[in-house]
Amino acid sequence: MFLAHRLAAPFGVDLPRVVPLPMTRPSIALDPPGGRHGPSRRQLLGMAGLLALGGCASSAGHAPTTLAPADVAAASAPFPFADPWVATVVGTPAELRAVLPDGPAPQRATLERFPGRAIPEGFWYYDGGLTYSTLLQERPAPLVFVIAGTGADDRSRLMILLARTLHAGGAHVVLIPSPSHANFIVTAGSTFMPGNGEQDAADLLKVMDAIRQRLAGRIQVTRYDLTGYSLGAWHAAFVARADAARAAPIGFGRVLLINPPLSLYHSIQQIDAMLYRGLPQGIDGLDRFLARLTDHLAYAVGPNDPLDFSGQNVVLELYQRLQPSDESLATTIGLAFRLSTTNLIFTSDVMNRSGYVFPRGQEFRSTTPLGDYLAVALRLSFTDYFNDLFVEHYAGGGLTRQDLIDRSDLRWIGGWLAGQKQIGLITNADDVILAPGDLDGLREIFGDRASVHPHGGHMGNLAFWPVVEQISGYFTA
Amino acid sequence: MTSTIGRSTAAALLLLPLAGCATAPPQPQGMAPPRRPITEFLRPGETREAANPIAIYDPFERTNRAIYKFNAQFDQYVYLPVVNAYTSVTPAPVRRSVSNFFNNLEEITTFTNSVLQGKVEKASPTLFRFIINSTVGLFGLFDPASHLNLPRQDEDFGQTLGYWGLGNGPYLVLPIIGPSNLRDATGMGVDLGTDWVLLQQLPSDVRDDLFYDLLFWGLWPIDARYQIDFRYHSTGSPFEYDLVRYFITKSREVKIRN
Repeated sequence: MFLAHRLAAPFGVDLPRVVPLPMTRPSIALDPPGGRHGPSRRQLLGMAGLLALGGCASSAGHAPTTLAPADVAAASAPFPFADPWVATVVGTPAELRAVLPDGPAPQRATLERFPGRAIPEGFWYYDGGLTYSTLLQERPAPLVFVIAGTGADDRSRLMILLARTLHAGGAHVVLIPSPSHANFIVTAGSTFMPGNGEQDAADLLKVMDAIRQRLAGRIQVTRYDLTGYSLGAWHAAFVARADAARAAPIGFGRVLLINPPLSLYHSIQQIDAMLYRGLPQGIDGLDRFLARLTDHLAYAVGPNDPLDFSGQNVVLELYQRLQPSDESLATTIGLAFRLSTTNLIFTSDVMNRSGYVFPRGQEFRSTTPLGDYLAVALRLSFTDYFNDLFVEHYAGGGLTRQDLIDRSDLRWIGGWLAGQKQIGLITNADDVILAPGDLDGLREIFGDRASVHPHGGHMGNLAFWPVVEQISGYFTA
Repeated sequence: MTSTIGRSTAAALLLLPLAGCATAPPQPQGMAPPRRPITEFLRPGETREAANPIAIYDPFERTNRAIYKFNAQFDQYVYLPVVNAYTSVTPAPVRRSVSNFFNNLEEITTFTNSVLQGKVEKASPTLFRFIINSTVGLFGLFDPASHLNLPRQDEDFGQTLGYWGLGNGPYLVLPIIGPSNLRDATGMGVDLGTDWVLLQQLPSDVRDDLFYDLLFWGLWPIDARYQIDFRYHSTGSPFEYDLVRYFITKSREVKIRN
């Protein structure tokens, strides 16, 4: 038993948090390749100190609010990382995070969307259906549906953060896994082929309807709201559109898109490029990259100065010790995304019996060795999935590759979105998933309903207290 | 303390190599290959294993995978419900003290193995920790040593064997205990055996007490699980087995080096 407890915390960071992160932020910082260093720790601390001072000066008169950290200096500091790669990986330092009241934890429940669906034994743990979470109020309140980012489920850290924020603001909260998560694909996807905004929205609405029905006797709902981050924000836009077109719509009162891609296709290209920035030999260099990471972690947790991994600033401390280059950080982010597309491609393939990476005639069992398929799926990008499977699947409906690319863009429903006063946007000017021009595209659609922060990368500032307060205020004001 | 763990470890060590012999080749014969087969991506002379960046030597993979599933189910239906019940009937400070108590006993293992590796810089703080926490800390229920800049170290016989150059051996998933390998499972057997011998030195009226049995047969395994955050299949990856295998193996490598 001793062994088990020592072993189960790889690198001291619990695995579920490290591995399935994508479109959230990776929670381990990688090593610098020899010689290429980012700012030194001292520089970084100096920078943070200066920023903190600067913040004091600039925000005189700013009234502290309930979510602000107790430390006055910290409460007035701006977001500390101007480098979007650092922001995306490291996130918000503990002293700048919103202070949310202690409340109950979200309760998990499962939903059988397709009773009797044949699920391969290799996915036995999804037999119960789709797992979602609720965090409810005792009194009548608005209900906010939250859609997770790429490959994330209702337990992702960002989902829990949003749940606590919205619940503290007085709302019922329902957390729904991303349609790109294996659990959703297997138990709630009608095509096993995520990534099509309209199709995913239809599946999401069916899930939301079922959950609404289930909650009907238990809680009183005064209004329905909707939000999501990253890919989940993109989904939220399509859900709002699809719902409005229904005969009996939910009728979302307020919708907030947090760091969405403008064009899913563009963002896929960005993310693929990121992965290779720190891998000069391509994916074949990945084992070397991972081996170097192990070396540097071994160094970082050296014998005389062990890192306390239970601390709140684990990633920040690792970052400060390892001082990874932008290339390594970009590869880390790309790798987290790649892992979720690996999961997505394999799951979609097995469920569709496409014979793409997994032999069509083979049964997927919990005992099936998967090394070869993992090796292949890791080498495939989301673009490969798009070109090889997605386009083929939707060709039956008469859609060309270009049609599908056009429809992966929020501008496809841009005219409608532009006219919807209840739909707002929060993003960062330096969001790393946006291609050149994408930010302008978002601004054109949302106009003055777009709130663009200068720094934060992709989701790096979600825990930053002014952002948390802004999100909370959007639904409570 | 010849707990079920010790025994099941021994049983697993005996059974696994046998079961492993039955491992079938990964691809059944006569089946159409996938559209994107591994062969498409291999560089000249590269093996399939080399193409997988997170491959780990695992000759008993099918058996290990079956035990991984058993462990996940055991967790779901037995272990976690018990741990959750424990959590709901005890206040947090009590649980912390329970963890402190068992962690304090573990210092013996860490001390012994620090000495066996000639690591004075780990052995001495561990010894001081044990002395301080066993006395001022009331038999280890409290951990004042951590406040005296004596952080917990972590050594075991598996690490000692690794330190002296012994390789991992085949990857093993042990029933209930979880991921390990031949070297570390052997090391754990030795550590548990040592603990058992030491506990035999306690007066027999202590060992015959019902409380003693409850402590080591009941509370110890509960606390051990309580201290682990890991939840099966929470990674959301169909490759979770492969990912866990890789991270555990690397994590042990890092520990052996430190």
